[in-house]
Amino acid sequence: MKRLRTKQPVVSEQRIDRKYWFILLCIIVLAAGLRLFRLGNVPLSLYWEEAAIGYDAYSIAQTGKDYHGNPYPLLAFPSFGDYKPSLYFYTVVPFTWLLGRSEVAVRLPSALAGIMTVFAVAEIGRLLWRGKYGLIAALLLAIQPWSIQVSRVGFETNLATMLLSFGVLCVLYSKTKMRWLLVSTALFGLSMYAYHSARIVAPLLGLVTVLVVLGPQTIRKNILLCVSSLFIGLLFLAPILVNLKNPVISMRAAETSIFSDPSVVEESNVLREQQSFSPISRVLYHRYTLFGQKILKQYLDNFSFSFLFVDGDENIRHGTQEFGLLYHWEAVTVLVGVYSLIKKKKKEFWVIVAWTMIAGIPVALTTLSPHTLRFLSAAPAFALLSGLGLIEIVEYIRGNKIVSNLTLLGVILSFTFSFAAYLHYYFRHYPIASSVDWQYGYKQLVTTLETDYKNRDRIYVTREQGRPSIYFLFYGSEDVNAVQDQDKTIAKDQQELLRVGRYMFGDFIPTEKGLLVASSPAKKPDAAVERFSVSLPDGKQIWSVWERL
Amino acid sequence: MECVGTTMNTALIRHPKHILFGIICLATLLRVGLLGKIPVGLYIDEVAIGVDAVSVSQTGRDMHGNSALQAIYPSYGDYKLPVYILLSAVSVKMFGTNEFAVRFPSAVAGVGTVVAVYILAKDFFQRSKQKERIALCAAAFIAIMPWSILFSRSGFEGHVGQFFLLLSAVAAFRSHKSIWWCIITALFGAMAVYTYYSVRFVFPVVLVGVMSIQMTSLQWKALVGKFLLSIMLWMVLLIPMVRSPLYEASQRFRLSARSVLQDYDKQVGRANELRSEDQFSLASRVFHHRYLYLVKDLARNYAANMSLPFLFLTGDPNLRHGTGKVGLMLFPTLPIFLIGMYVIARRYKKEGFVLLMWYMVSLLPASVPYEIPHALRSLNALGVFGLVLGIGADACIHWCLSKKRMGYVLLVAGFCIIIVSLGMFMADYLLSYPSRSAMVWFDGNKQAASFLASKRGEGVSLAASGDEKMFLWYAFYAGISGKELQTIQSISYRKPYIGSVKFGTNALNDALRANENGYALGTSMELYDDVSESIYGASGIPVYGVKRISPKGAK
Repeated sequence: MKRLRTKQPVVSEQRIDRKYWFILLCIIVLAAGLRLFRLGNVPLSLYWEEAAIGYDAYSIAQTGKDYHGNPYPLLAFPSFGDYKPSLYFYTVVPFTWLLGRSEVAVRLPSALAGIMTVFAVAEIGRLLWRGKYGLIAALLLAIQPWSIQVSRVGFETNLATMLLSFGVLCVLYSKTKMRWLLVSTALFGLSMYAYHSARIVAPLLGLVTVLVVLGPQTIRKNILLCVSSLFIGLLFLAPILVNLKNPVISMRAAETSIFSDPSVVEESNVLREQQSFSPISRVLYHRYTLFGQKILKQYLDNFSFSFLFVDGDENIRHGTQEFGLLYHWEAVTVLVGVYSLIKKKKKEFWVIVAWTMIAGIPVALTTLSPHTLRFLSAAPAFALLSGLGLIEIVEYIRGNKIVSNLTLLGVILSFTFSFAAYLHYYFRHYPIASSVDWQYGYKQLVTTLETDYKNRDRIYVTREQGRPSIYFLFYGSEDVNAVQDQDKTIAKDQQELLRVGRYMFGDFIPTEKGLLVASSPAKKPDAAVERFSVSLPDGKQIWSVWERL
Repeated sequence: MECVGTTMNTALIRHPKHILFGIICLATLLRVGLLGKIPVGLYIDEVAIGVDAVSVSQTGRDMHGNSALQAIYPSYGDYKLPVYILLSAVSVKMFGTNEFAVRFPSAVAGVGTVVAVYILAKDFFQRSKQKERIALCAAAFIAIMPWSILFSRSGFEGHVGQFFLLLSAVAAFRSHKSIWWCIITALFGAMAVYTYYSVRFVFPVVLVGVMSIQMTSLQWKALVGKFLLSIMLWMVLLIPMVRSPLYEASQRFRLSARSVLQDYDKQVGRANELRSEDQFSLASRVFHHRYLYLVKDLARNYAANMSLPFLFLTGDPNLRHGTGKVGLMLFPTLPIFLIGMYVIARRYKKEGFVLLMWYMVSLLPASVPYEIPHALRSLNALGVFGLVLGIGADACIHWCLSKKRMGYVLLVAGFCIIIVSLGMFMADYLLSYPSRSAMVWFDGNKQAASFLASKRGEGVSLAASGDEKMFLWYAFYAGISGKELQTIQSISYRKPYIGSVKFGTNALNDALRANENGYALGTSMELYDDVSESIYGASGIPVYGVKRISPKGAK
């Protein structure tokens, strides 16, 4: 009897353990399916930033230098002058070796990051509460529009979010084995090299998570390890801090910072002038008062129902515009999740609150709000909240069988319907609706020019569809060494090349006879002869290739 | 610091009536001070109410000669409800024909709302030992709430409507005591609907909610009976409105604005577009059903009315409904509001559910039209916010007091932050808002009307255009008697002339062409920039021009 009593829980724990891992595996397979299925075709084509990442990664893989000729950039790649943090570029390199210059190679690191984040969320949920909370949260993250959308594009932010999630997870692991703290710091540090926003989120989130999860007593006990961990953190932070005034870091900040918006200063001046610059007006309408109000507004925009649950981001590359970041019904589960979180009153739960709150800071401090990508680091926290809320609802109504069954049915129906509706829209309608925003047509244009018009010495391409040179590099046959060599001498506009081999790029329509020109159909002169055209999936012509005879 | 904190709490507990009196005084000061001057001019609805009010106070009939006891006033063609006009008639009788008199009923309703919320908070949270403190906090937050202050300072019926709604809720809480309270509940409910149309959707929900809070297993039969009595009496009282000959027209007028419920083209168009991409498959009929787009539009509008920046930072973009620099509530009250929501969800589930329903149904009139977010149409939720803030503040005070020294510091700091925030709002409201909002308050129309009044003794022809409803401002500011107005034949409920002054674009063009002495008043565009004199608004901006017309050949 005694033996039975001691053995039974072990067996059942093992069973639960096995069950947990099996379900988690199924969820990860689902997440992988949703992220990898037709990865190269949906979204229809590469956005110019993806193409730039792809070509820089190819350039690194071939020569050890980016296509501007910089050897192994550490902090950021100049790309189009927007100085993207470097880590994502390096994660694309091995896939470029394996798959060549392809859409899948560029997007695969993001998709894998999305899949791994699902695992991290399951584990965080398990460690904070119990296995089922983690599994539900992981399932929700696996199917949430926000996560799917970003995971299927070569967005660096998804990699940063994965690293942040694993950073939090390692802090939770460090409760049992303190050595995980070193790994955690390294992960938080790495995330700062993946995406700009993480440079604000990672230090704050890391600090709060460590303080909340470990507490001052544990920190005091393991002071040596904590100091080492802090040292690792500083090691990652140092290159960024040292180069704060270097354009590699400051350029992007200056371009996107909320303080670069002159309208606030103008408004302040007008309001103060109306009050004849009275002392009260100098305080009331001081530019910093107005900036403060704007920062608060932008911060709150992240948490608006419309953004989270109804429409999502205005930018169609960041969302379908038919769905919010989360499913509509998650408005209820997230709210209940927040309520349950506070009700539980355990200090670890404040990790989730801090995570959500800190993730909103980068959006508040930059232009354009709300912003799906800059706010993405909150996605795992929202999945955890929604999962917690869902389980709490189901458990709350468990007492009454009829109500319980009806609610469960309602939950399952809402869940299935919205998931199916999202998948239907995303794979069937979204590619058509968003084709222009994904610069559809460049690949078809380049490949046709490369195969059917090899003999032409010069071809002129207009810049109407935006940054053509990168597509001619990515899909074309120009030697990467030649591109790097020409970088210092060739004409550029904000780091965008205006010539690639025989291709010239500009804003004017040339009048030269016999010159092959690629432009929008509207710009084609009546007398010119069209050689071929490229159309969008909805049949609308986007490119016309013509020449004057 | 400890001393200040303790004194505050002692005062809250021991001298509630004194504190309430102080809150009422503050509320009155914020609502009545400079009431006639800020906002800078009378909006068209306010001036129309004023004209009818003057006419009713003088003759017992509206400007068109209809009885003052009619259920719907035609006004200038926008079909107003009678209660606000009748209240203004009393006010005009007391204070004369001026802006203050038109806005006074709303200001009184604003102060009354503070008291009503105080009583209602005690009723709602009667289970709490600290209900007095909750009620005082709720009243104080209503007193300093920009949403309440701004609408108390303009003559909008919606604000008085929500006040009567609160009174009906207060009466409903007492309906278990006597049948008279049921009658009073129905009377206040009907008064609310006769003040503002959209209350008719909210009142039944509030009544059911209040009854459900009081419901116990022993009393339920009696309470259901009283509820049915109240609701039936309320419906009977609404019969005159529904049977009014103007009811159909008023509803057509109200539904004429573009709304989610009528946007057939957008929703069906979108559904059909996506269905055709799917070749009208069965799945597409489900996933792209037009009702899903309707629900989505409605959800979007609801979300806009519930957005945190709207509630706590920017408010309504329409400068008549907000200053553009402050939310419906002061920003520092956001944490108190969130804490209030949590406490209600935790401790007052039934009351919380009623408040949630009250809030959601209050947002319906604001969420159906596309003009979102809308502070005026969502006014019926004002009391709900007061109650949530009250309970949140009580929880904060309780927590602070339990933390001794640090808690007292936080309590005083929080109090100071709210006072500074209120000061900043009021400073902006008094200094900058008048000029910023001058246009939307029809600044200049009063001055134009006064100009016309000053010239009417000269025996010359006068024509005014600018705004086609200028006759309202002229009638109000030139002191035209109700009797004179009633004798003038209206065209589509608008007076084409009053005495020697003719109104409208046609009248202006006729005057410009006519061969007689007179003045033509209009915008500089209407007068082809040929202006001999400009009329300036109170904010100092030239609004209208005047052209002196002389017979041809005369010098």
